[in-house]
Amino acid sequence: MKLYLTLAVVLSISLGGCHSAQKIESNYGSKSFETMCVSCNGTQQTVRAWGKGRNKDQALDQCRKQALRDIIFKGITLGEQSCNRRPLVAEVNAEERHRAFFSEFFADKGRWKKYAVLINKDGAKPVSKNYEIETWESTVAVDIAALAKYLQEQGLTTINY
Amino acid sequence: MNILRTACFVALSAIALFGAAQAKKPTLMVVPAETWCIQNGYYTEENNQGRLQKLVDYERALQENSTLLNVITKIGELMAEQGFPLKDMASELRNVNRASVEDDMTQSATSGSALAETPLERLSRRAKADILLEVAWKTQAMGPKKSVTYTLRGIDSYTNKQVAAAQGTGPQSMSASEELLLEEAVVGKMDNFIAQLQSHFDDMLENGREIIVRVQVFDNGSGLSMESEYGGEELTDVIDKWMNDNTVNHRYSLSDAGENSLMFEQVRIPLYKPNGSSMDTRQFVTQLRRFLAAQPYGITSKIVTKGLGQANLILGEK
Repeated sequence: MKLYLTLAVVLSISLGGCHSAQKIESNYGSKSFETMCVSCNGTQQTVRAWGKGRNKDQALDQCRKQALRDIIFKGITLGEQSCNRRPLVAEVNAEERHRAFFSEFFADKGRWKKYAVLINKDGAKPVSKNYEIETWESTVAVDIAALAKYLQEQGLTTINY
Repeated sequence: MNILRTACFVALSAIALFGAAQAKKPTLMVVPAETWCIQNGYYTEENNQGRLQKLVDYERALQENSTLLNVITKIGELMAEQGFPLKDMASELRNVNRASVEDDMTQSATSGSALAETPLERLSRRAKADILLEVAWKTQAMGPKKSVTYTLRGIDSYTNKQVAAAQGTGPQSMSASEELLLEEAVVGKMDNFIAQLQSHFDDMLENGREIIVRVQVFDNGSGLSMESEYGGEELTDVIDKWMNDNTVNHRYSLSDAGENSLMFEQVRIPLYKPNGSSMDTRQFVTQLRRFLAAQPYGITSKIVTKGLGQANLILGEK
């Protein structure tokens, strides 16, 4: 009886410590990993971005999301001068005010995928790996004209492209 | 031919990558320090409520001291080489002088209260440089050899806070001019100074520009005060809530709240308006003015700005 009780306690402690793999919202916007402009041809901006994830695919998805986030909320000030330096949505605290919209937009199967594509996935570079988190950098092409048009239709920006 | 093409590609890529590392830089304006101007006699004296106040005369300093002009030009060149856009102090002074008398003193049309600006605040407001580079120096002689001891301070033109500093004494020389001695003294500490400037500007891009907003009530017998209630909420709380909603990451500090005035400091305003154009102090406070003018408040008010980074919103009159 005592043995079963001890086993039960040990098992419950072990199982309590386990949990299913967490979905990581893994871009923490490290100051040293700022999105950088590579080029702009008017309707498309190409940027260098960084993302973190449990594996390469997750990290590269975060690269694309981070590129979009920086273009939408911050503007791109590093690198080539041709990229849009103003945020696409300049409203103060916009992400917080329109939380429902942007949560859906940036969801894993969200609309963001239409506007940011990786240029040469094989050219993406690993930056670091800490425990289970990998950081990758990649070049991302953002269809800024289509993105601006969509955000205008949603009433979030008046900036034209 | 292939090797040549590869070499060109590598060279061009290196240039592109090197160029790609540049960040957006703040605009600068080099000005002589107030202490330097006063020590060298470039000031006027004005009676301010029984007290003699010294006001710096930048125009006379530039006209009468050729070394000052050379020093400003030299420091400006050093910063321009690092990629910083510059505003020219002499040109901006001419713009200030051409402006109307209205710029010197601002008064309420109704009660006559006034808000005076110092010469530097007036210059800053017109020039709209992000950072003022204040320079002061003193030449020391030891026998035939001379050296320069200097202080260079970067001042945020909105908050008047020091954001970067460098000081020291340069190498001695028997023949070099004063401005050359100063250049040699400054160059050694330039990297660290520039890093401090850029760090401050990066923070501003990330977290918004810092300003001061003061809200006051005209004493005109209307009964309006910060304790006036609207739908069960005092005016203080209404304005505080507006600040919370409209500052970047809700960053501000209500440092003083009384019956007739509120003082908001470390207010972080966005750099851009929703339509993408640049935001400044007056435009930010105009948003608050419009909010209070609308129903259910219907409060008339007037904005008075002081320098680039401070605005007073005076409620109750125009």
